[in-house]
Amino acid sequence: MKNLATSTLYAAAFALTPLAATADELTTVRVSTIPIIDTAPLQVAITKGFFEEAGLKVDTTPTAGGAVGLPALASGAVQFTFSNSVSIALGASQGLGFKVVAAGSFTADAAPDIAGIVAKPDAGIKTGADLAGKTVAVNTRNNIIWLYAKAWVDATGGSSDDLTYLEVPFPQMLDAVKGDQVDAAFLVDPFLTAGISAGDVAISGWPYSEIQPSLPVGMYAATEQYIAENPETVAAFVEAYNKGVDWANENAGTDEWAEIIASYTRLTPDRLAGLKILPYYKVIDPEALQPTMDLMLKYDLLSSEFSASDLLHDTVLAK
Amino acid sequence: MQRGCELTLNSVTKVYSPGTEAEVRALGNITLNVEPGEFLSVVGPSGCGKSTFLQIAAGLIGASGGQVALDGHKVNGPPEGLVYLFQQYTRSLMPWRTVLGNVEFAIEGHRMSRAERRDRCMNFLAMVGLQDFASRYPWQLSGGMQQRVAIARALAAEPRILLLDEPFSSVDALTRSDLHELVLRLWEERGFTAMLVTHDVDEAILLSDRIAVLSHRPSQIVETIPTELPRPRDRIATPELPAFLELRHYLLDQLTKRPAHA
Amino acid sequence: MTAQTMTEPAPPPAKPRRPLLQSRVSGVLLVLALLVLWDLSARFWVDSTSWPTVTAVLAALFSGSADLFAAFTSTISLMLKGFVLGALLGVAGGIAIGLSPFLRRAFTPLLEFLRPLPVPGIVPPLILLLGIDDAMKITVVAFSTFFPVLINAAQGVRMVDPVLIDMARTFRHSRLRSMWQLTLPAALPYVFSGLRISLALALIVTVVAEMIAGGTGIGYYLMTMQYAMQPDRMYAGVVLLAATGYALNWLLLLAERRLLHWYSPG
Repeated sequence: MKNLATSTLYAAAFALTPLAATADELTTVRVSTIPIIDTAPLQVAITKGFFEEAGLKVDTTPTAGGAVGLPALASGAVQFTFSNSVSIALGASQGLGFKVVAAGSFTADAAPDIAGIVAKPDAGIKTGADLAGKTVAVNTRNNIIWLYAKAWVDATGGSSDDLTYLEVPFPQMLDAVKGDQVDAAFLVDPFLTAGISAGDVAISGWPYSEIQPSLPVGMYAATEQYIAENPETVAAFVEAYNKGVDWANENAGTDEWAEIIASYTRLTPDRLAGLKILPYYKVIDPEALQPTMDLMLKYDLLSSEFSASDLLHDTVLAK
Repeated sequence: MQRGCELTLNSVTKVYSPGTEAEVRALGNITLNVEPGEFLSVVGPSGCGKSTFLQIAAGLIGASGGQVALDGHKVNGPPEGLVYLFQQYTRSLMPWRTVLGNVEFAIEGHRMSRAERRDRCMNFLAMVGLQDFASRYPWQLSGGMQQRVAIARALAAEPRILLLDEPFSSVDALTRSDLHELVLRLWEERGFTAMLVTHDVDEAILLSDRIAVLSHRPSQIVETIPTELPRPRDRIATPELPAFLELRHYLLDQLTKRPAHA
Repeated sequence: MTAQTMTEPAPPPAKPRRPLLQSRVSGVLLVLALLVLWDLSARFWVDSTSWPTVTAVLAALFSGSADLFAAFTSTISLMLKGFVLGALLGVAGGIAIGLSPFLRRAFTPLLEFLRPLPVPGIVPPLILLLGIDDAMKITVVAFSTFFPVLINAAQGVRMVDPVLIDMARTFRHSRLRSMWQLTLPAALPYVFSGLRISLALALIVTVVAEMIAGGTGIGYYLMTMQYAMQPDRMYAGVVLLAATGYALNWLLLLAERRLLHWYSPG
């Protein structure tokens, strides 16, 4: 009875959904992405036709929060997912078979970075020690932001157990700091640049670049199974994506670049103009990723040692 | 004119929740014969199980023992040719249907055209004086008019026996008197058998050929009294007859002198 | 009481008729007052990049109308599919459960277990089953629509007056006709109150589902605009959403008044 009800429900739901477009000679892959500047090379490769040249049709499924990208990857609903190293490693350690196939975004090699811990200008918070007993806003617990906030507090003379981590979505963090709901916030662009230039908040520290310059943060993952069954598609995807990386690095700041970015991030020209533009890379050095895995172990996100090279597929390693 | 049918109750008993602490013996041992075309009333003190008795006769609930038969055929469920007029006329009408729609419900599913059904039901509405209210809704009508709708609906089914469960008890006195006259006229015209359950002695005498007196629980028929009043009855003149008053005196005496718990 | 009651219909029972015009005017005034308060607060008291003035929001509503319209049609179509599916299943399930004590006993624990599940909680397992497209979102919307309709329909079915059922039995009507002609109409007011709860829920859940996954609809628009620091456009979406909810509820009330003109609660 329950089975019948469920299958009827699904059948009806599918019947109401328009059928997917018929396949042509291009191989269609679906990519779960997040509409932020980090995914610029992907959008460039789509807009400039690099994927089509490689025989691929790329459908993007943007998720504003990014929360469903990895479950969707595990379920096979999408073939590639843009996510952060910590979330991908967590999934891989749980046996979901995630592998990183292409590089995404890196933090700056020195301050100013694209993400930083901020507080009210007069709060006098400059180190982790200043945050003792205080509350800091992170967008999600147990993710990369939370991990590096803790690491920074411990690295700058404080104790990461001495403060409270409150989940606040990025768009609300500035108001939370201004309204004294939190003492500090780990903020990303465009909110970081906007808050600092308005004088509402001041930088307390740059957790990413202070712990590790040019830290690989965002990256594209696929499942081992998909990689094994579709090696050519994966190779074609990465090759076309890398063309997008080159183009984005060469054309950053041009009108065409701005147009592409604005079309999917919906950032206005003045916000775009204020953004720090960092270079994109095509490879990830296991040595650069390993510290993140070690921090995950230190802060109990992993229960045993995890080797970064196990996470990285050939396509993202230096040849 | 259709002939009314004969209703026979033979040693009918009813026990609720038998064998438990909550056991209630509602009906003792009831044997009663309602003649074809007869108007019989059942009177009794309140709470004596009059409604139970009528519902068993209608096949709405089963008896614990004994048999009910209509023209010699055993009654297992609501039988053909029998219609039941409920005390709660407001609740027995469908508020989402018009007056005509409510009457039509009686014969929906019968083999006839829509137009034929409509015409027939309009006729019955005219018979109860509601032809001009066919397209109204029950809740737009007064209580008396609502009971007339229920009566028209009962007639639409062409009953050969009509069971009336205190159908006049919740309308005002003048309306009740109008309804008495209506039921008397329809019974005389259409010749069905009628069995009325009531606690109103005057009503029972005015309408009936015979009156069965029910005892307290577990109810038994104490006696059956022929009214022996002339027909046609008149709602004003008949109650003034000495025989009426004498019977009224006797019945009230019987009903009030009995102890509350036999 | 006089004999007049015999020939003239009693006045129809006093229907709860509120003075429509008056209440609407005062309602509009309240909304306007709140909008003025919003605008003043954004201008003078609340200093936040995420709290725009009403004029900025209205400007965004018009300048972004093409985008908003596309998002709106996508959301509405998704919502209606899920709502209709959930409502149909809810009515069918509610009738079954209302009529059958066996089914009621069998399903109540499961239903009570599933009912309080929040949407974000059921999305991940549904992604595994149905992916991240419309099928998943329609299922989520149908899921949340289902329960209020089911519970109300089940209750409505049991509210049918036993006298009506007995009445139908004495006319020797089948159980099917009884159900169709008596039980269903009697349950309709309850079904409608379930539908009204579900409609508001369906809109919210559609937007939440769009926020969690997928690149279309008002939900996605709200999230994107929030992350793009365009709060005026985001609130334009919110205003449109509020207006949509109001209009949908109004349409349902209209349907209810037509279908349930005979029904007065209490």
